Amino acid sequence: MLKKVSQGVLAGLAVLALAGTAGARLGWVALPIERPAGHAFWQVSRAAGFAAYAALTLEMLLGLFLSTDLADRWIARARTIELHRWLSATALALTFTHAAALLGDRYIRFDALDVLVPFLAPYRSIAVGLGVLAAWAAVIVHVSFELRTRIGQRAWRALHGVSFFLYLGATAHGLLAGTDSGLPWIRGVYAASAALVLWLTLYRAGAALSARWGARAASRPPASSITAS
Amino acid sequence: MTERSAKKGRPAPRIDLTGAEWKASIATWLAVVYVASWFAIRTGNEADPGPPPPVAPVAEITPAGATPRPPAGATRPAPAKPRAKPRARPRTDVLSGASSRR
Repeated sequence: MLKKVSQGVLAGLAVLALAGTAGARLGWVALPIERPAGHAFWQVSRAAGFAAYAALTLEMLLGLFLSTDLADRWIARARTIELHRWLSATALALTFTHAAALLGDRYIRFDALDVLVPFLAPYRSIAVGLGVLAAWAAVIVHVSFELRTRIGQRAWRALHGVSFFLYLGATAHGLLAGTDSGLPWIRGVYAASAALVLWLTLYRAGAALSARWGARAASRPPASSITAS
Repeated sequence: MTERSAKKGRPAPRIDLTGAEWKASIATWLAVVYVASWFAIRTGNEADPGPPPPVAPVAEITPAGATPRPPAGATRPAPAKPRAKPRARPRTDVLSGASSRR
């Protein structure tokens, strides 16, 4: 009961915030939002965004480990699934912090619509829009964990495939929108993450293809039986 | 889990940590990433110019002859004094030529 009430209150507050932002954009209401001076919100946002990218990379790696059996020797499979789901929630929480902190920055002056609607933000709109799309994809992937038993394995796999686009969008967002992306060590982190995810994805695709060919070859009748008949 | 793996014939995993231990270690690493990126941004190196500067107010384009809007914070000018009422001209009767003023 208390959970439902709190969910309703949160949803109401979110609707109010969005309606207020839309009204302010249209000039119907004036929102007297005072943003503090200094770069604190900007720094919180950048650091949270980078930590969210690290969590997303780990989540992707664990997901690919699950589908390739590569890590079974090191980590128990049930533990990998548990950590994969937990990292999905952690990455989402850090992404939320990343977006919410931007609302307090007095230089960029984002509002709720800028961080929720793709390609609406005035600052680096393409790069920020890719990040917003990636955040929504992260929500879809996270919700898909809960819906697996209801929607069936096939639909769940299709939904889960969104995570590759999510990863690409998040990487492009970090590289193009981040003001610190020129730092060598930050570029190194992006490159290492992308190389690991790409290698595991190729390994997985190769394993799936060889398994399919193996199954096809096994189902084909031997050549001697064809000539005999 | 280790027992279950053994029952299924799989070798036991080499890193046998509980879920809480795994989560604590990953959370620690993420915190390290957070703090490291915070300080990397704060040190203000040349690669990181920081947040973009505040947007300068754009000069308002007004049509020719129109009064431009005053800048925000400008004091409102004192209201103009009311003009003196023009004296009414005495009406004259066109036909008779007599003035209507008495």
